[in-house]
Amino acid sequence: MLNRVLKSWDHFWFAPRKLINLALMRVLLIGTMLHLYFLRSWNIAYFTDQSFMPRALALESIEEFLRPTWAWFFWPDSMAGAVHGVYVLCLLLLFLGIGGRALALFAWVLHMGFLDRNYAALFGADVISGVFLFYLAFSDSCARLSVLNLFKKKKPVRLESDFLTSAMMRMMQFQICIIYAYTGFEKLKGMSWWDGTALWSVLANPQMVNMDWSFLRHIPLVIAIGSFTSVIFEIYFPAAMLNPKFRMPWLVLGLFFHLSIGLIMGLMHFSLVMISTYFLFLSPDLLERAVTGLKRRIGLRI
Amino acid sequence: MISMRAMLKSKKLVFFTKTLLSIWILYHLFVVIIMSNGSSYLARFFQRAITPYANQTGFNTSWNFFSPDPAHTMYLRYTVNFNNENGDTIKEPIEGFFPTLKNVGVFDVRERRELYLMHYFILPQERLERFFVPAICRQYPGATSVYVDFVIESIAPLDQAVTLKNQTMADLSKQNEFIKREISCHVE
Repeated sequence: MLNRVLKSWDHFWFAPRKLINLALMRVLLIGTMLHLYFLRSWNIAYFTDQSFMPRALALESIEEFLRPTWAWFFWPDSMAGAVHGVYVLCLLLLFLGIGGRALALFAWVLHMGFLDRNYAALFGADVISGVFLFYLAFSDSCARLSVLNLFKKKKPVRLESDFLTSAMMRMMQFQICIIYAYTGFEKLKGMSWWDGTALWSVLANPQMVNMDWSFLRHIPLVIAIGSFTSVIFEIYFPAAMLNPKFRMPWLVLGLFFHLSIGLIMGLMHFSLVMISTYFLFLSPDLLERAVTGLKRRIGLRI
Repeated sequence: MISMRAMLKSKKLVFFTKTLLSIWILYHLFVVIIMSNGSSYLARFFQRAITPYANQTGFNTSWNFFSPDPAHTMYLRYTVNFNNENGDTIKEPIEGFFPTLKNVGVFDVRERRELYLMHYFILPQERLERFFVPAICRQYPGATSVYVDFVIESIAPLDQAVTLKNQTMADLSKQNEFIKREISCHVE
């Protein structure tokens, strides 16, 4: 009995898995981060004493219950720009599939450093991308879809994961399910989500949307359906991922859900970070066929 | 130097690593699940065992996007005062908003962080004193104090907006001002 349990555990967490899913996730996640943090180069003042967050108060500014024991920003403020440049360069290399675990871990340390340096100016995308970068740092995410494979003509490209990578892929699946489920549960605490009008508060708020959506008051049912659909989608996401029948429809709904948030609310980075994890739930054969088709078209060996 | 991949091929080492990794998996999952509801009794009960790890690695987040309810339109309105020792005005006060465009959405990520900063400054209010006002004072040399208002422009409820279709959303919105404090630039 114990043997069976251990075998199942071993198979569930550590069995080899196709690396194509992880590679596609890496490309989208790191590509999104690359764009987001390249643009953050214009905000370097936020990470120095010239802005709202004096260095001496950086850790103190984090609520005590959430405060880290030590800050990850090991560099002086005067070097914030240079370190940020190195961070963006790390992301560029990872995007191209160069560097692997060590570089991803280094990038994660830098990422956390900037998060700790100005906790007050964080986006949701900063936090979530940090979470998934942590898992990527322990996985072999650069084995597939790497520009280095273009030069390894004789050496075969690795197709399957080692057990550490498998564990991290599984953990990322758990992580995204936990994020969705809790987001849904938290919404249930709010009256406006219960009565189906929450989406109105978002779409009628000029600070949140990029055009006037007040015409929707002429078709209020859209608001109610949209609000309830959001909550149901989030709460049942974990259950839908467990059931192969529901998995694809749920991912398609999620794609539509996040792209809508991205386009209407200008939160495209957040949306793409969330969508990047969907690759982990898709059939590797399907992805392999798509990548092979694309490679044939452009004649690449990545 | 043995590469990570070569290490993962040795049988004994694989068994040992998998055992360690299994322990970490259980612990990490426990942390991620508990910390997602960080204010719960369980989180408080296991605080010592899980928060140092969760806080250091960034797995201490509670996932509450647009919840419990989406926020109304809000911004800080401030007036920078320039007075002499007797309290007389020596220069015209300067009015500003934070975020700069107050109730208008900004979708360039280079400017959008102001909105997130504003949400941070208002709760608790002492953050205005510690972070916001000192920065505004530095921005305006010679400033003696900053008067701050926290403005909420409410979004009319859907039922009201549907019933009063002929009125604009701006007409239906109500403006409320909170905080209303004058904070000195010279307090350390």
